[in-house]
Amino acid sequence: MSPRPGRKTPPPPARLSYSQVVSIANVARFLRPADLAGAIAAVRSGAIPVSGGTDVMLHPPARPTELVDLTALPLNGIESYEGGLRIGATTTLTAMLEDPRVAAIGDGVVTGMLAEVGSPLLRNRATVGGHLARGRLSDVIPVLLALDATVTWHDGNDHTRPLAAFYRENRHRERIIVTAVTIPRPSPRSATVFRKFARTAFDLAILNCACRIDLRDGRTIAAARIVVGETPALGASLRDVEVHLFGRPLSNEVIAAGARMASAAVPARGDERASAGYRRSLAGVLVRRCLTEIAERIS
Amino acid sequence: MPRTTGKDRAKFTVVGVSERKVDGRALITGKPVFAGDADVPGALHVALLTSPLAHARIRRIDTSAAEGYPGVVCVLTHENTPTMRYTTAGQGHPEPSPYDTRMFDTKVRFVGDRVAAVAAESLAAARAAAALIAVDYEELDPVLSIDAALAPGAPVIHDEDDCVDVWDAAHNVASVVAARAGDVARGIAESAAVVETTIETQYAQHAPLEPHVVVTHLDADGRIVILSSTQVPFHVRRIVARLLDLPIHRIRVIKPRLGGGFGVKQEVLIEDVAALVTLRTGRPARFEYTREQEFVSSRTRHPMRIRVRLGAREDGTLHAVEMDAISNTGAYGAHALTVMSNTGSKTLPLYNRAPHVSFHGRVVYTNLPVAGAYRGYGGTQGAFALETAMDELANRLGIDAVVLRERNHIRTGETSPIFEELGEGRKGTPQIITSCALGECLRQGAERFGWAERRARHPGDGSVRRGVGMSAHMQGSGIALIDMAAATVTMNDDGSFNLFTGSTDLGTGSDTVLAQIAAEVLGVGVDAVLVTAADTDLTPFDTGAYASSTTYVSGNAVEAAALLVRDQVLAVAASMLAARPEDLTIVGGHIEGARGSVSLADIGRRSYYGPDPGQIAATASFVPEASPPPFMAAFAEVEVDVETGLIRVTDFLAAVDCGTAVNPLLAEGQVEGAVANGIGYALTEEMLFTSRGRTRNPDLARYKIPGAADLPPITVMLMDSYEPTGPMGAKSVAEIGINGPLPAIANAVHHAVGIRLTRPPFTPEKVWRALRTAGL
Amino acid sequence: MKITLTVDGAPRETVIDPGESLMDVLRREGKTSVKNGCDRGDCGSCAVLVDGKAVNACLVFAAQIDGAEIRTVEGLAGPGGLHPLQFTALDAGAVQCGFCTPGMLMTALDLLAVNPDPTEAEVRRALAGSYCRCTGYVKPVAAILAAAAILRGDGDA
Repeated sequence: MSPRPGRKTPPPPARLSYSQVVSIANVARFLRPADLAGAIAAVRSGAIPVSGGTDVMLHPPARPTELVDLTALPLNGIESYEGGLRIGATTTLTAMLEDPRVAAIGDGVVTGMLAEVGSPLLRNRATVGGHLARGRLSDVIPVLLALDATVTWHDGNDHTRPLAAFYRENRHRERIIVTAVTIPRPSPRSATVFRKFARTAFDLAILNCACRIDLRDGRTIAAARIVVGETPALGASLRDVEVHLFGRPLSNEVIAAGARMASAAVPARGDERASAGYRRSLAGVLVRRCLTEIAERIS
Repeated sequence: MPRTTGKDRAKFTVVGVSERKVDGRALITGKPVFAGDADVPGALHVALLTSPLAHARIRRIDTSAAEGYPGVVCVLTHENTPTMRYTTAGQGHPEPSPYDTRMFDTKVRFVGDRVAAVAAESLAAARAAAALIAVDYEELDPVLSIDAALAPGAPVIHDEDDCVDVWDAAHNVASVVAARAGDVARGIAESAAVVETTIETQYAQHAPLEPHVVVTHLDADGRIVILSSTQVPFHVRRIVARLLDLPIHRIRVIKPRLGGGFGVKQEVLIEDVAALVTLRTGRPARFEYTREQEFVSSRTRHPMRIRVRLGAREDGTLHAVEMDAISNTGAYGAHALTVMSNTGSKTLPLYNRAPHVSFHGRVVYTNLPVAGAYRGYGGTQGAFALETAMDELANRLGIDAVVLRERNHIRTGETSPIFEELGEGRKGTPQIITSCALGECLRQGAERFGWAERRARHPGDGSVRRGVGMSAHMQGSGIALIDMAAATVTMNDDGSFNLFTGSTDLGTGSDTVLAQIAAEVLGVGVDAVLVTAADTDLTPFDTGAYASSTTYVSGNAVEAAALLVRDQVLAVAASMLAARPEDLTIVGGHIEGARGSVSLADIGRRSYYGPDPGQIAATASFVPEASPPPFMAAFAEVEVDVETGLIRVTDFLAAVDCGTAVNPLLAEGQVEGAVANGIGYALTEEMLFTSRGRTRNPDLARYKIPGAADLPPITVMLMDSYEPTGPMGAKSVAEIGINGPLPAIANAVHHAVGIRLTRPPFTPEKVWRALRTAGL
Repeated sequence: MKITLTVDGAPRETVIDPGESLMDVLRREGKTSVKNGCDRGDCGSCAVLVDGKAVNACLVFAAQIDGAEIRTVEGLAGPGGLHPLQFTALDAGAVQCGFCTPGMLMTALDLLAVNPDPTEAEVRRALAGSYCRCTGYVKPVAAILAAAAILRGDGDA
C-alpha cells in the first residue's frame, strides 16, 4: 500500500514505537510572507495558499510543493458597512457562526447554515476564503449565491465579482488569493431560507437548497434566488424557477408549480449516497419547503 | 458461606453500587495504557500488502525490490511462511470454524486479502516497500453475492485440498446447521393464522475507535511477548503457537486497555504476523491497522437473508415456527457456523409455546470482506426476522404487539427443545430458565414508554407521520459446558487482595464488575481489590470476552475463588479470636467475633510474617451448566417524513432483565451503547461494494455511524431480577441491547406509514422508494 | 524546520517536516493521549486545543502554528485534582473504553469556554465531530452538563 497520493515518505523518525508517522503531505516548504504581494508572488510561482489547512491536508499535492500560509496576513475579521458585511478570507467558520452581525443577516440564515457545516472541530479551522477557493461540495456557497454575495480576490491586482461569476469564469482554478467575501444586507422585504438534507448531523448534504424572495408592495415577487447544491454543481441557480416566480404572488399554487419546475430543472447526478431521481424529488421538496417558510415569514 | 440468594441483595454493600471504574482515572487523564501507546524501542513497523482483486491466484510474487528498500528488514509472503490451514476465529479448542485460512495464501479471495507483509525501520518505509512488491495475478471470476455463490457453476472460492470442516467447498457452502422439534409442516397446517416474512441484512462493521494494534517483542528469556488489542489472549497464544510451531509456553499474550471491540477483536488477525516478524528478526514489531484496513481487512457482521414462517392459534399462541437462514460469511469461514447457530438458538427459544419448530441455516462463501463475531452474533439478524414476523402476526390477528409477546414468551422454570438441539455449532445443552423477568420488561417498559396511548394515536396525515413499535429479545450468558473461566485471589499484608482473572475488559468495565463481586464476598471496598487481568503469564485461563460471558462465567469463578479465600481468612481469624469461623462476620475491614475483632490487615501481615505464616490464596474455575439468558423489551417511536423518506427515531426505551446489575451505571452504559449501535445498523450503516468487489466507503465519513446529535433520548430500565446460578444473582448484559432497534424501528415505521421495511439500513431513499411503491 | 509549541504549559522546541500533522508531532513528543482513530478528521479522537479552540490535530499543519499554545487532556488535571469534566465523566459512568475520551473532553472544554450554560441539544451538536462507539453518548452528555454546572458554581463539587 503506497503512501496516499500527494504524500511523501518522511525521514526515519525518532525510535519511538508509539510514534509512527506514516507519510506526510508533500510540502516542500511552508512560506509565511508578511504581505499580500509576497503571498501572491509565491502563489503565482506554484505555491498553494493555505489558511485553515484542512483541505490541503486531506488532498495534498501530488509532488512536493510549497505552501503559503495566509493566516499572517490581515485577511481576518468581519467588517460592517452600510450595505452589509465584509468578511475577511481567513475568518474561520466558527468566528462567523459566533458573530452577531452575521446572525443579523437574513434573519440568521447564514448562521443557521454554518451550524450544519461539518463539525465544530472542522469549523474551528476552516475559513470562508479557503472554502470558497476550494469550490467543491458546499453548504456555504448556495447561501452566498442566494444572497448575491460578491468575492474579492488578488492576483497582483484586486478584483471583485459576484460569486456566481467567480465560479462561472473558473476564477477559483486560477492562481489567486481570495481575500474577502461581501454579503449585502438583504432588503427588509425579503426572506432567505436554507435547508440541508443529509443522513446524519455530521455529513455532506445529499442535497441542499437556499432560496431568497424579495417582495414588492408586500405581495408580488420582485426577485427570486433558487439555488440547489450538491447536485454536482456547486450551487445550481434554477433560472427557470426564478423566472417563473418573478412578478407572481407567493401563493401555495405558485410555490407548488415552482417546486415541480425545480424537480425537473435541477441538474442532479447519482452517486453512492443517492440516485439522480431521488435528488430530483428532494429538490422539489426542499424548494417547496423553503418557499413555504419564506411565505410564512414575510406575509 | 453459602451462595447468596435474592434475599441477600438488600445487604450487598458493593455489588449493585455504581462504583467508579478501576481503570477510569488512567483513561480520563490520558495515560498511555493502550497497546498503541507502548514504547518499545527499536520496534520494526509492519505494513500489509493486500489484494486489489476479489478473486485471483498468485502466479508469481517478486519481493526483491521491497527487500532492497532502505530500512526493510523482513518481507513475508506465502513463499516463506507456515502453510498450515487454521481459523482466525478466537474460539476454544477445537474451534468450531472451518480451517480454511493460511497466513499468506497462494490465492486471494477478497479485495483486502493478505498478500504480503513488510517490516521496516519506519512505517513509511514499510509501506513504500510493500508498494514495490510485484505480484502477477491470474484473475478469476469473483462471487459477489449469496445468489452468485449458490448459482450452478459458480467459481469455487475454496478449491484448496487441505481445508478442514468446510461443509461443501465445491458449492461455496462453508457450514450448514439444522435443528427441529415436532413437525413444522403439520403445525403450519393446523394453525389458524400463518404469516411469512423474509428479511435481508447488510454488511456492517464494528468501527471501534481504536483499530486493531499489536506490539510484539522478545523478552529477556527469548520468549515472544504479544501486547495486543485482543478480546481473546489465550486463544491468540494457542493459535499463534501452532502457526509458528512454538510451544505455547514460549509465548506470552497481554491485553492492556482496549479501545472497543464489539467482537471484531475476537480474532487472531494481526498477532501472527507481528510475532513471526519478531521471531525471524529478533526485533520488536508494531502492527496497526489503518481505518481503511479496519473496515476492509478485519471483520464485519454476517449479512443474512432469513425467512420466518409463523403459525398461530386465533388467540395468537404460536403453534409452529420455521426459520430458514442463509448467511454470507465472506471469503473465510471464521465464526460462520457458530453465528448461524446463534441466529436460531438466541431467538427461537424465546417463544417456547410452539411445539413445532424448525431451523435451517446455510452459510456461503463470497469474495467479499470476511464476516466474523459482532455483538449479537447472529441473534441480531435472527431477532429482526422473528420480531418482524411477530409484528405481522399481531397485526393480522388484531392483537396488541406487547400482548402477543406476553402470550408466547418463555417463563422461569420452562425450557425449549431448541436449547438442546442448537448449540454452538453442535448439539446444545438442555436448560431450564432459572430467571426471567421479561414479563416485567414488557409491562414496565410499555407503561413507562406510554405504549398504549402512543399506539392508539393516529400517525397523522401530514408530511411527517409518527408511529411506535416494539420487540422482545433474549441472548445468553456465556456458552454452557464449553466456556471455562478461572480466577485467583491472593491476600496482601495490608488486608487488600489481588484478583487475577484471564477475562478481557474491552472497555465494558468488566474488571470493575469482577472487582466488585470479589469485594462483596471479601467484605472490603472495591479499592481494596487490585485487578490483574488478561495476561497469559500471570492470570489463570479465561476464554475471553465473547458470548456475553464475563459477568456470568468469569464472575462465578471470581465469586468461588473469593469464597475460598474468605474461608481461609476466617479460619485464621478464628484461631486468633478463639472463635468458630461461622460465628465471625466481616465488617468494614474487620472480622468481629464475640471476643473482639481483628483487622484484615492483621490477618494479612500475619500471613506473611507469622506467627504461622502462609499465603492466603485460592484459585477456582467455573464451567457454566447453562447460559441463563438476559431478556429485553425494546420500544421505539419514529417520525417518518413521507416526502423525503427520512426516519427519525424520537424516543427509545429498553427494559432489560440482566439479573442483579453488579454496577448499574456500567450495565446501563452497555445497553445505551448497544442501542446506539443498533440504531446505526437500522438506519445508516452499510458497507457498499463496486461490481469488482472493492469496498466503496471504508472510512467514517462515508460509512455513517451515529453521532451525539443523531440519537433519540435512550431510556434504560433495569428490572428487579435475580439469577440463582449467577454471581450475586447476575446475568450478562453486553450484547442484548443491540438487537432491539432494528425490529422495533421497522415495526414503528409500519405503524406510522403501513409499509414493511425488510432490508436495512432504512436510508431515506430506500424508504422513499418503498413509499412510492406503496402508493403513498 | 524548527517550531516551538507550548504543550500543556511546557515549551517544546521540535524539528518537524513542513508537511507533518500536529497529531504526529504531538505523539512524537510523547502525548499519546492524542489518538489516531482515522487520520482524516472524521472521528475526533485526536482533538486538542490550539490557542483555545478544539481542532482535529490530524488535519493541522504543525508548521502553521509555530508559537501556538496546545492543550491536551494530559494537562487538564491541576494541582487541585481532576478537572470537573474529568470527575463528572468518572462519576457518571461516561468513560467506557476511554479511546474517544481525550478528544471528547477537549471538545467539551472548548464548548464550555464559549457557552458556559449549554442546553443538552447544544452539547450534542458540539460533539458532532466526536464519535463514540461504546456509550451511545448518553452519559458523556450528562457528564458535560454536570461539569458545566460545577464550573458555573451551580452544582456540588
